Amino acid sequence: MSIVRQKNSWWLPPLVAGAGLLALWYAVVAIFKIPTYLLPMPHEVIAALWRERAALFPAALHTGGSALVGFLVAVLGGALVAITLASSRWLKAALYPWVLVVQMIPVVVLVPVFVIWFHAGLRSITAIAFMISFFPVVASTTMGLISTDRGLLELFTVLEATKTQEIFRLRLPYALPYFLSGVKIAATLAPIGAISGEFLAGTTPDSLGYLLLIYRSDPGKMPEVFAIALVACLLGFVFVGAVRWLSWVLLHQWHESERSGE
Amino acid sequence: MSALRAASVALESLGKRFPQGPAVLANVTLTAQPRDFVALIGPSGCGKTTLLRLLAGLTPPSAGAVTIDGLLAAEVRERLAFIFQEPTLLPWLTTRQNVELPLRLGKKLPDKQNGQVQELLKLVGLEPAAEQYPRQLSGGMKMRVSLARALLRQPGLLLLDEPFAALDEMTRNRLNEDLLRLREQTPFTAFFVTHSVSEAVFLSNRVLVLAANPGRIAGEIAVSAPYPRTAEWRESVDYQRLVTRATAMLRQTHAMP
Repeated sequence: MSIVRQKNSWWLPPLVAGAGLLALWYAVVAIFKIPTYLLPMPHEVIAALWRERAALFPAALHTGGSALVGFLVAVLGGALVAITLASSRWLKAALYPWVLVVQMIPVVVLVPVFVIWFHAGLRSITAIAFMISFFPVVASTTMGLISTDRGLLELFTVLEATKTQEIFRLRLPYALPYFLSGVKIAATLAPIGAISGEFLAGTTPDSLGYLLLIYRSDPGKMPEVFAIALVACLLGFVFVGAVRWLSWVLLHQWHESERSGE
Repeated sequence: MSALRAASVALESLGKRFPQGPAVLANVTLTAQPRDFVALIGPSGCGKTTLLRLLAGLTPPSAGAVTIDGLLAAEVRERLAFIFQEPTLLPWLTTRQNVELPLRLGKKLPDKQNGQVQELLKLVGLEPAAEQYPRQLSGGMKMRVSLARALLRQPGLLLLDEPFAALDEMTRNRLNEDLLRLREQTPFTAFFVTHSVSEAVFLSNRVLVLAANPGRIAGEIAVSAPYPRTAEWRESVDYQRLVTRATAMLRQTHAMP
């Protein structure tokens, strides 16, 4: 208890829990005698990761690149769309439902269409990563832009601020924490979108999704499938870690969500 | 601190009615001389806050007119400052930056104004907290920032909408005393909305008691005690008598139809 409460031991509880889960994993496999082709043991996954490093490492970079481009376009595009939607009540009422509708289209349907439109390869995968991470940015940024504190808006009126000042000095900074929480969600989704796209399109060799297609067709390669899951997790951590760092840099001095000690 | 003078205010048959609603204010006529400190008290729904918003030009009147130094509120915005119920600080700016906000929004930030910001921070006792962010400040400190920001504009007319209502009594009393101390240095006319009769009597030279449905002036009590008033005045018989009188008048307006 007292160790957990110490400031610098935030890493200890997850580490202990992780070790416990690993032990449970081994125990389950051993007790129920689960064969490797159903559930490989953790050390077999690590071994597969090492064995296939020459394929997995470039694939992770490739997938990460597609996800990154899609993510960046989604963040920029999402922010611009949100600013447009928030600029007029009419525009938001007219367009927001349609943004939602587009979001409802399953990736499985998008993939073949994008492959036809953008051809197989990086561009269609990037487009999928974009589509899947676009909406959270739009939704949370729009929310942030339209929920500007009324009192602060009136203050700006009393202080005779111009419309431009109101946008850049009040509405945008006020929406920043909302925007960043949308970006955080987008960061978790973009790599998932890219891998799903690669898997479903099956047209981009040297990518994690494509390797997954190959490995899963061989029952002996279950540890490799798990190794891909591990690499995908690491990729996701890189994305989310980068955004969390950016969020901390921008907000820790003034916003409750980034207070130290959380 | 300022070469500017306090504003005179005139309300002529002022009325306010929101669309499809009953009249919030009806036929309010009032003049305030420069340096008047007018406290507005009355039951909930008597239009105190609406009256203040009309003075600030935040909402247009439905009838009658508001003039400040003979001009409409919207034309003399730079002459007035508004202190809201909430401190309304920008959370991403430090204390100093928040106080400077009116300058930052203005066209220039001349160097000589920096000395003025520093002086104001000192006056409201916030110099040690100048580089802190609002979330690090107590409620009373936030209100002091709000006060300093309002005074930076050297307003001829200061409008205060229950600014200290959320604070504990000790902090509130201290801020009341500080406000009067600041009034000695910056000449302004003030309209102060409050629910607290004792606060109204302590601060103002005129207590206006409003009645509701529709909002109107039901009575006025003159407080002739000289400024600057200090905490000691609160102990005086004179003060207690005025609080009792104002409370009685307020009770009568509650009984009004």
